[in-house]
Amino acid sequence: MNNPEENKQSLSEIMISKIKTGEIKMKPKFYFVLKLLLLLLGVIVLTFLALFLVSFIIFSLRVNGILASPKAGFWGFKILFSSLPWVLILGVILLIATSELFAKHFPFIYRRPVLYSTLGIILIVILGGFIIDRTNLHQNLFSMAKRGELRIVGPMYKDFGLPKLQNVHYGIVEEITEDGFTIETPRDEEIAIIISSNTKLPDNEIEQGEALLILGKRTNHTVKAYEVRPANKDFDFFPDRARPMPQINENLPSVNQPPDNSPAPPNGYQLQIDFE
Amino acid sequence: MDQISDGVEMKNDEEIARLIQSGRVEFFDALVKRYEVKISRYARKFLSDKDDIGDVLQDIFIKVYTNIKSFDANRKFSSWIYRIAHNELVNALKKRKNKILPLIDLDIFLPYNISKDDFNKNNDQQDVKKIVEECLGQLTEKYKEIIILYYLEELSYKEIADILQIPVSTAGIRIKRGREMMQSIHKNIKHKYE
Repeated sequence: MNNPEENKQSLSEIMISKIKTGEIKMKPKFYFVLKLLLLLLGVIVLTFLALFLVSFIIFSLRVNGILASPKAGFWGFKILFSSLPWVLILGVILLIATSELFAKHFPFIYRRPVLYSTLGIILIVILGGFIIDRTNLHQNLFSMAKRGELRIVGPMYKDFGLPKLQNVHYGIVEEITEDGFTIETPRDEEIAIIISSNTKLPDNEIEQGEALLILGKRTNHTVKAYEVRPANKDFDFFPDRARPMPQINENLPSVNQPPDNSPAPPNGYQLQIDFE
Repeated sequence: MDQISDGVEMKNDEEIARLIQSGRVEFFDALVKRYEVKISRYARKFLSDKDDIGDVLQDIFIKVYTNIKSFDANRKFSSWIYRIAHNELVNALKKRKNKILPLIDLDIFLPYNISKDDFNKNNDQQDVKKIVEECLGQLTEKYKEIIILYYLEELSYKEIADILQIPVSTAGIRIKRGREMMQSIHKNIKHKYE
């Protein structure tokens, strides 16, 4: 072992003898191709999962009206930040990081700084998320979840579809009062909305039966409105009732009892969620 | 066997690897002989026990043989075999030193400009190797390996990037930092003896 020449000789001899006796065998090419394909599949699946989650987050924020809240300035940003589903966001970060770890095995990825590939994946996931949000995918999945047809992701839709948010209130206008109006929330509560000169109001006049989203601090059954805006038309706040159509004349349809001849609700109005 | 020995001298590593992949396993002997000294020298920089080096060396060549079909003959064989050696040495160090090597290194995140190496220009090749050998013991693991690969094994930035699976610019910046450390260590050593 001490003589380098002897050592050199012996190592090659040992190796050849191990090969000849079948002690060591070459792994087939198929094994490596399969390994590479699995890695690639892993990257694709993880990226798609991240894409799905991001598009779901965007969808959930959009239908709840939170995505547009930064328009209200600092207060809106505060609402957006406090309403972000951090568990899902953490999930997305973990998926991206794992995808990056898998991708690092490919020379065209590891030869470049991680920053480039990470930014690439983040860009794909965010842009893709917005594109998927524009499709009906999540709305359809939402309906399926309500019907109990989605076992795995169903609870996710129910949990995040209409979360209880601080300072964000939804409801249908019941009555116009002197200092504002009252709404009936999806949780069957009646809340008085107080409007002041600082309240940002929608362009149209607030009318009875209208679905609204109100940003403001709640004290017991009263909300001092900071902003009032029409609720997202793609979202059904009262899944057990027909949604009132925009009021075009004096004969308003009743919120609780829609007329028999009321037109069929548009596609997006079919979304259903649990409010328990 | 002699006919093989005659022909094999004319062939490069990649051609020999291709022959082994096609089933001419007798050519593996040639690859072992070509790389045994280099890999053994490389392993000695990390492991001190001769038996340990012998075991790791055997493990490396077993891995080379079992995984030879994953080698892309259009790429450099030397990078591939050093990559296997690197992985085996990392595993050996983990076992022996019971040390967990960092999984994430911030160096690989950002792009860097690769500066030209003036160390080689200002010193004779033999002097460079001598300085490196003197300073290696005081370098941290992170810089030690890359300095060995660059100055002692004389591999390029791209080859080192492939062996360590890091960006080429990261290899460049680590060599630069390692070189600066060596210069400072060397200065201290010289100062001590003067």
